[in-house]
Amino acid sequence: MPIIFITDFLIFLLLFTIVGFYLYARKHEHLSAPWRVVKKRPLAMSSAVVLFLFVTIGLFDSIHFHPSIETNESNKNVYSNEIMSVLDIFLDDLRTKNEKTYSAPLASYSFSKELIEQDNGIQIRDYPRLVYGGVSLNNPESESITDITKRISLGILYGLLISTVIISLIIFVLSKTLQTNYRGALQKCLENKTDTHWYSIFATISIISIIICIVCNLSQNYHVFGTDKVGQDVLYQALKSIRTGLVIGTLTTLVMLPFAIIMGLMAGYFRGWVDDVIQYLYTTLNSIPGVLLIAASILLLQVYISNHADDFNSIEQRADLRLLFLCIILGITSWTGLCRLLRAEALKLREVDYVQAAKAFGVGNFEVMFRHLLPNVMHIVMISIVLDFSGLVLAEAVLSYINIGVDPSMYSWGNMINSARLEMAREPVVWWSLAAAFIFMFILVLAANLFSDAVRDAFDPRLREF
Amino acid sequence: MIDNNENLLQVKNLTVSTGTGGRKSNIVNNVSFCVRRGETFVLLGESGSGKSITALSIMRLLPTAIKITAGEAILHKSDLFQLPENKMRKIRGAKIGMIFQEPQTSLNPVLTAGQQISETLRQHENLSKKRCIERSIELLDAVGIPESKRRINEYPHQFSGGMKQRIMIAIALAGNPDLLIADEPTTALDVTIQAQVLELLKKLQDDTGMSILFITHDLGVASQMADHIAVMKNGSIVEAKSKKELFSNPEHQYTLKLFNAIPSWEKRKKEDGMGKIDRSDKSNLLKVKKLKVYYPIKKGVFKRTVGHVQAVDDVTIDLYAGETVAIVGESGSGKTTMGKGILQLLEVTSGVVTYQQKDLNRLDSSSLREIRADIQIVFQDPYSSMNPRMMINDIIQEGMLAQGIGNSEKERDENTVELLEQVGLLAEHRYRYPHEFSGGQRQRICIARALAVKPKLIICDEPTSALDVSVQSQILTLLKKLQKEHSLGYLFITHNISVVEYIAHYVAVMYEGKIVEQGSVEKILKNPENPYTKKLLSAVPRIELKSNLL
Repeated sequence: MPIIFITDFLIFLLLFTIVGFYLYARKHEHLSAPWRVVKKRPLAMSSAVVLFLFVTIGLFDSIHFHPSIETNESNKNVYSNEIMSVLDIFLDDLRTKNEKTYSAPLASYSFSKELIEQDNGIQIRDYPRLVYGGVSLNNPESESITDITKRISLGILYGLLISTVIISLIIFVLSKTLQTNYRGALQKCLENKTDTHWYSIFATISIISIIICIVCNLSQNYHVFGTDKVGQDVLYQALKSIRTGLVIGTLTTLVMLPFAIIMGLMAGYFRGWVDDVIQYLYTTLNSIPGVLLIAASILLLQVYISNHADDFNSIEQRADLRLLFLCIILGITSWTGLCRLLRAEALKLREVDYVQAAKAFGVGNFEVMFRHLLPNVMHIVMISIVLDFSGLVLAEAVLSYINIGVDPSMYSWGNMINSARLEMAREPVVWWSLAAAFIFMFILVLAANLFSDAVRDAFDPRLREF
Repeated sequence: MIDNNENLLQVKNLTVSTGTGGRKSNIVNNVSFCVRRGETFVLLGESGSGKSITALSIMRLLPTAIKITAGEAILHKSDLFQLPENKMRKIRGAKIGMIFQEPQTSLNPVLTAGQQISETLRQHENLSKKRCIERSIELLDAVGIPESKRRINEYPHQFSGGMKQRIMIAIALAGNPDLLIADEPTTALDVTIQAQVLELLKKLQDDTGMSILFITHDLGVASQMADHIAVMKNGSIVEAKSKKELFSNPEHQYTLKLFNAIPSWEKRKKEDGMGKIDRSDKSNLLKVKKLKVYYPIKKGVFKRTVGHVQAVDDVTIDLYAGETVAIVGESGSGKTTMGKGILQLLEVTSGVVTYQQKDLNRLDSSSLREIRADIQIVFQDPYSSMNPRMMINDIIQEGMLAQGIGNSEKERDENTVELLEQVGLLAEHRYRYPHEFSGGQRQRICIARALAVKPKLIICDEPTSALDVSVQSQILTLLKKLQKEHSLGYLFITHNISVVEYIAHYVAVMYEGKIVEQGSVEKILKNPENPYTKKLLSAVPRIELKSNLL
């Protein structure tokens, strides 16, 4: 039985908007020309592939449902109270293979000593074998290294195989659109004579599929990133956190965008008292410490939730509302930067001849704003959306670390870091939760930053050709 | 004086290209010329003809995407293109000085005039600090800056545009160059200032015996400065002669075309006779009475108004249907402000603007919106007067939609096609974006846009100043044709006297916000009374052409 969270709805709304924008931009030369420049940049295309992977995972994680447990006599499904996402089906292995407590990456033994009863009834204190980690090995000390190498090399092999299949499929489709044969398309890709930098895309696809295959192969027998305090697989947590990061990075911008655009354009275009009021508003908002405002609002929401406990059916729903609220609060505190930029641009544009000409025709103020000003500041909006994204993903981690971020029950990189913090003092140190969160966040943010660099260059009017 | 026939700079077969492989294209194509000692050599051409690129390649200051692919430039027996960069640096400033078009941006705003002159002195002359300052003062004196001892410590923003160009010249002269490259040095300046700068350059040439490579698009300036002239077109020199020969006997088609494009009395007489001004049978369109536009100067914490900038001061002017009233003046004289004030695009301080018995200043916004269809404006810069993100079709129809002209989309589309044909463009141009058109074509679109709402009066704010001479003449002809067809009134704002000669019926001369003299075009241009008008007219560089050329 499907269930739709508010953020799920917003994510798919955003997805449809982006698809709509794509179709619109294809027909408008001034919108599609900069993107063609982006498509030619090798680094940008590599980053796009990585981002695409993250987004796909995030989207699969945004389709939620109650799984059916059994079918009763009258052929009606009985649904469990648990809420799962489509991603959970793929990751069923990772989700269910829980250990007792901490275990290091690729370990076969638990991280902490326990009392173990041996076959002869004598109890000794030692590291017990894990329930799932290294379960196929009889003698982990000697066999694990060979087993791991075997699995890695097999993973590389599978990865190469899969990437070859994917790339051949892409080239096959390309050859149809380019109206050449298969060989011609391949040659064009390798010689970089296509509109898109396919070479870098293929390289990235190969690397990613090899890594995925290695990880898949290893996780059949091991916990690749170890397990956490309650024995849950860290890789699973990190994968589930992708959705949280993406939601914060995109929905926040979506929330702030209307404020920033409308207020910024109005302030710059009308000037006078409108400008004064809007400037007063954003300087005031800017001078309140953001963290303080966020902490206060989250507290407010928590009080509201505990007073209206009946309205929320599940922990997940509560966590989802908190996530949405966090997005809104982050949006409210972060629209001022873009607003200021747009105000400055509108101040400049209102004196430009074509705006004066429109006024000389007696075109209304709001029409002028949306027909002449908005399309001409869109490049700034675009640049700030992609640049803000990575900042917001990192902001979530910081906020969760000081406990005013997303709900503690929700998977997020910030929460992973927060819980790992307590174990940093242990000897030997429990580093894998931190490392996993770090690696995932680093890859996402790096890809987003490289991509946004290319977007900024392409949209920058000073570097543009017309 | 040094022997006049000796060549100082010899450029042979210079070719400059951009791009590589199949996309390679030549910007300058096999150009050869030589500049003799003590003489001024003028490169004349329209925008995009490659004259500036030629100058920059002699200095080896080309942008990275553009490369010299062939040729040599011999100065003092060495080929400049073969020199290593460190030797080239010793040539720049010391052997060849350069001044640029835009004095506002050629000077560093955070350094004083003295510091910028001494920078070159220190680089090339090896002088002591004290001597440096003395020499800077001498140079400022030489370029005619009064109170040079005090002004040497002032910053660029404290100087006017003409003064800044003088400082640029002082910097270029600091290394005692043999050759001065002047890249359109007076294009950004007013005519009166232009006359002063040109005179200064001539005087300095007499004093120092340097050669000048002078780049310009202005035939008048060329005829005033040149000993030799080379006419450039599309990266090649089409005709190179001494000044006398070129002006008395131009041979190449393109040179003839350039000469014919210059608007003047003679051209006007030949085309349609002198437009005698006769207002008795025409209806009055616009009456401007004591129009004032003041900007308050505010100071202090409480933004107290301490004075006013009198941008337009007490202007009274009449305009009748079917005639052209030219507003002539230098930059900052308030011409554009006046135009916008009449259109109610900015707030008017006081005065009455009457359009067909209606006071525009007192109309409520909806009646004003109706009247906007009757008064339209064409701007100076065709690149900024159209929204780059809109198609031509939408641009032209914007006014129709706002004014409710045309009942259906089909009717509006038909109108648009008709308008485009009227201004000499094709119907298929409707579905293109502004960047796909040249400056002249854009200006035509702007005119079509203004015509779309069927106006009776068009304010033309320097509509041809950003265009080349040949394109300018096309636009002027178009404007004249449209005036005849629709009996349009033009308020023609310009600083170009020859355009006034060609198109105006009535002239008003503006100076510092006031109209100092107005009257029929013949009276003002032939018998000016006001001293400012006299000064303005005498500063215009004239060409003596044989009348048979026209």
